[in-house]
Amino acid sequence: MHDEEGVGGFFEDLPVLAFVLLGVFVLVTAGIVASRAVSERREAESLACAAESILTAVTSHLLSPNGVGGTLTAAAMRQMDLRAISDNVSCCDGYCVSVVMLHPLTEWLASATVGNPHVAILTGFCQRFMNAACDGGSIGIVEVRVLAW
Amino acid sequence: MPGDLPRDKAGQLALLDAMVFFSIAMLVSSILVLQTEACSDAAVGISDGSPTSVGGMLAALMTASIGQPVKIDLGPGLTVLGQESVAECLSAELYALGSGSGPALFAELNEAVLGLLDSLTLAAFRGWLVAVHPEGSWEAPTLAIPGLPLASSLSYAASCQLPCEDGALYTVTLVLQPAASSELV
Repeated sequence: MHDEEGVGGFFEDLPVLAFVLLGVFVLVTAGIVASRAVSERREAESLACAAESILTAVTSHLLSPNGVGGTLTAAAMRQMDLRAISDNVSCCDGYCVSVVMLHPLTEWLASATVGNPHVAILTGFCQRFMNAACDGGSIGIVEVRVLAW
Repeated sequence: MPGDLPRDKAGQLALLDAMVFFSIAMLVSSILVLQTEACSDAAVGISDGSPTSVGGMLAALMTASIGQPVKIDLGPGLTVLGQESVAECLSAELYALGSGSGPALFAELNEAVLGLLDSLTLAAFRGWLVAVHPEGSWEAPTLAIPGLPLASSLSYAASCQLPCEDGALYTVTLVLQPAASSELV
């Protein structure tokens, strides 16, 4: 309802206020969503780097002359102290590193877990395949996996 | 008198301004959220298929022993005892295929290689091993286990050179693709 001069009065301002408030709300919400997504991505990248650093430490130890020594063998991997190797380079809240034989048999060779994985919201994962001498002279495939949170 | 402000005869200017502002706010917010999702999708990497992982997988696969005895009926007979490396077995097979031998002779060997490849691959992925002659093409490879990879927008691959007895240097490529949803258990 407008008077002859086209003045809407107070009740015209209410829908204007509603539109403006709604627009501001949508902008602020989108900004919060975007900043949270960027933050989560940075944390995920950080965890991936942490997992890779642990993996590098473990595989370097495996391949070094002072590590399991000479030719990698499944028997030597079973006796590895993964936690001692990984704690030196760990820069995350928790991690789980595992050495698993995939070929010719499927066997868990060594594992170490630090922290509680059940509370992890974001994780970083890294893996590497290596060859190892198995019983009988065959060459098997071993996978080193690291999950960081 | 309340609301006694100078306006035009229609009295709609403020409301239209607010609607334009709201439309622009919706547009900007949509672009912001879509761009954030696109960047997040691009950043999410499936670790099993990362280039570094596929290269390491291929190297470990080629160096590993075949793991089981395989009989290949090549005239005088050729028996793989199980400790021969996958690279040696594939090299012999490629040489025989290049000399005119039929692919059916190596079905058991190819099955063993495929089983080994499946043991390395996560359930969410499928693996293919393709060997191409230096003068050949991807569409007509000398060997493809279990076949040629499907056309996919998401593939991870690594390759290496494999020499054969006749001096040819084959290119062996390992391709990983997400398994079709119907194949997932």
